[in-house]
Amino acid sequence: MSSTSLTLGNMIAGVLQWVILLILMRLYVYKPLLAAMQKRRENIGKQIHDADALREEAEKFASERESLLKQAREDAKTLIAQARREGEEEAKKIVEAAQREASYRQRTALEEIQRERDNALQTIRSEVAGLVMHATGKLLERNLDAKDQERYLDEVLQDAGQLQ
Amino acid sequence: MVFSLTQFEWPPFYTGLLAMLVVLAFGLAAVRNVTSAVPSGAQNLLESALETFQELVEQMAPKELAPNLTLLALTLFLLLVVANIVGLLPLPGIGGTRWIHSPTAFLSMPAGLAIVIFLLIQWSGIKYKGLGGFLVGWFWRPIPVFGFIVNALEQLVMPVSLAFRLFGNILAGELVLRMTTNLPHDWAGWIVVVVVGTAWLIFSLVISLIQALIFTILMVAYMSIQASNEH
Repeated sequence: MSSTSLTLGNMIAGVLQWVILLILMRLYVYKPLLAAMQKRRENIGKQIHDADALREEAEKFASERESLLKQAREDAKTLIAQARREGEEEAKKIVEAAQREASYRQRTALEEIQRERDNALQTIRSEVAGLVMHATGKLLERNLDAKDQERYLDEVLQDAGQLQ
Repeated sequence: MVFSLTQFEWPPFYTGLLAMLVVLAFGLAAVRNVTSAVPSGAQNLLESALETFQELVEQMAPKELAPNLTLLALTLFLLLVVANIVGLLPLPGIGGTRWIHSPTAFLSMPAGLAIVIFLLIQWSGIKYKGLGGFLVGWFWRPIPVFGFIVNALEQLVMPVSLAFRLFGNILAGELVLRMTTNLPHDWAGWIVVVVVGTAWLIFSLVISLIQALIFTILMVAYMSIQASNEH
């Protein structure tokens, strides 16, 4: 027995061992293993795909939120501006109304005063006329010298003054 | 060197069978709880080997040949690794021999494999170049008619060098290891056995791996060259 001898039986046996091992390995080992590897590859691909989709969605949401926020800010700005304008208008109206009221009252007060004064003057006139009549009557009753006349006139005027 | 049609040597047959069963057991262990999630243990190991071979073969071989050639090469590699290492195990012998021999330490198995690989090389040449292109490649290149001599030499050197490289390396590993154990059993002998024997054992383990890989990669390379050769 020598290790360098070439025996046909051992050659065939060696080849058959390889071939049989290959067949058994293909059937029972490589087949499930390759299937598992393929499945893993698909899973990873799917996960990457899912992650991409999720990221895209998140980006979409973020941009939407951004635009909503922007919109809300603008709305708030508009609202504030509008409220301010309305407030100013309201204030102006109030002030105008107050001014109108004031000027009306002033006018009516002036008219009242005018009327009162007119009335007073009227009264004074009629009063003075009466006194004049009275004084004239008295003067006509007496013959007065100039000195007396002056004194009477003073009296009359004094009366008139007291009357007023 | 003797060629015999009738003789049969049992030790390389047993150890070849043992190597086959070890590889098969490893393979079955790898797919026992096969998972498409994160693999571990034997599955992880086998997947790494498979992926390494896939990359290796895809670099060289035609696309449609690659998947089958990958499995062919991986199986051959695993079988040869175990077969090369079997002879290094300090197991009790069969039929009075002290060591279990590697089947690859006998010329027959590497030679048988090399002949099959030679046929595979020719087959891939016919398949990918067509019979006409294949015959032209054999008889008309690099020069008409006489090119056959060059090609025959080149083609025959491939399997012969394959077989003898593997056989020689593994036989040498076993012989030197056996020589260390045959030293006289005194203290000096033991020191040599432990120091030299251990060193040589580690060296032989590495050689076992490398030779299995060389044998397999050369098979893939020869087949790929023959398949892609556009002379």
